[in-house]
Amino acid sequence: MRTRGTVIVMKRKHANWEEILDYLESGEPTETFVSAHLRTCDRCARLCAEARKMLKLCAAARLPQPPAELIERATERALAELSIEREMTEEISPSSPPAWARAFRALGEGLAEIQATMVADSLVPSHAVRGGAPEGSRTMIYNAQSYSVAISLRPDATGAALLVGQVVPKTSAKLPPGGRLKLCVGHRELEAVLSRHGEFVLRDIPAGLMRLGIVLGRSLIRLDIPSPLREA
Amino acid sequence: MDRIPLVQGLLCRDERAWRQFIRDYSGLIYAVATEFHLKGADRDDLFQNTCLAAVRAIDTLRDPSMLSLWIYRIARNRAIDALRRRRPEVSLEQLDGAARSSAAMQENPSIVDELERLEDVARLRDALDRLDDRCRRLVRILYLTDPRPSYADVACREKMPMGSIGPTRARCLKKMRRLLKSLSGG
Repeated sequence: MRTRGTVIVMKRKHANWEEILDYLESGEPTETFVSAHLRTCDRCARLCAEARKMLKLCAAARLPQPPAELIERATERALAELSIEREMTEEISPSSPPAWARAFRALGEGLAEIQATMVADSLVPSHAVRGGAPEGSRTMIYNAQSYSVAISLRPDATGAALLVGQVVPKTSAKLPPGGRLKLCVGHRELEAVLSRHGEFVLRDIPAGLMRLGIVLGRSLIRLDIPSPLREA
Repeated sequence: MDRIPLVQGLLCRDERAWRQFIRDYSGLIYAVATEFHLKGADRDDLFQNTCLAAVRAIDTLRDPSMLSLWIYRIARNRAIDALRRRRPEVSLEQLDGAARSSAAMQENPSIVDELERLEDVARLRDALDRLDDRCRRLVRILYLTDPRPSYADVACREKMPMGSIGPTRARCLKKMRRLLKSLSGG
């Protein structure tokens, strides 16, 4: 005797997407219309392979989460970077210039200001700095018209940072004499003079956005140093 | 937060959006570090540096609907760079070759295969975000929740008749299959 259900099954040509999904997800070993049909129908077998691949991918997308404290730490670093970015793009009001702008003005009257642009950063590795940054330090290279400035930030023994750098002229062999510089971090100002070879060292630098002003002849090279040290 | 407002928030440097983004995509970033066999401090470092790189590179995001693929590629490139810094003379292909030939790795899929799988996962997440709200919720609950809830639980949670869950999930997966094809250029 033919049941109603059997009649329906016999009339059907192909398995549909939902049936294939049900078949794949049921995990039942019993013979069904779908399992029998898949053995004889290439079209449905291909659809089944696609569905299986998709379910496998869904299972793979269930990724384990990193520890909550790591997410928190990374978020804090990212947010610190955002606030530095915001600070760097703030408008400078001529009526009440920020502390760093006042500090740079004090370096000399009528200096031609050159805003240096960062061209390489060991935190964003490129061929220029690859392998050049010791572990736990951050190296950046800036372009300032006819000068290049390389700086390296390193942690010192007290947990503060040490800034080592060098100004290199691109065209002439020598730097103008009497080069000096000022670093502003928050309300702190640190000063140094350039060596004959354009080298400088600044110690005991607190955390925060750094602005470095370097006076060379009648030029003031300004560097915005955007980020904290790479964590060791 | 939906994908479009999230991306707008990221572009506007909105802290809430960035917190959400890092939380939502942490699994994918962490998985890249794991697939490259980075451990301990190296893995944590890659995770944090990828988040930092995302902040710096957000303006390079061309297509907001490819956010998962974008962050996956940032993480992958940073992982490759971390490996090369450690072994500068070795190319990724060689690293993969070495992995294939080492006895310990023969039981495990190669880095390249695993990365391809992760790239597919990133595409799947992008496709998922293009689904309508109802489908997105249902697929997330049924396929991305561990352990997977029963249809009865889903019916209760989503206020859906239990009998409609199966057909709805089939329709949603069908839509996702089409989206995946379009994201893969197929």
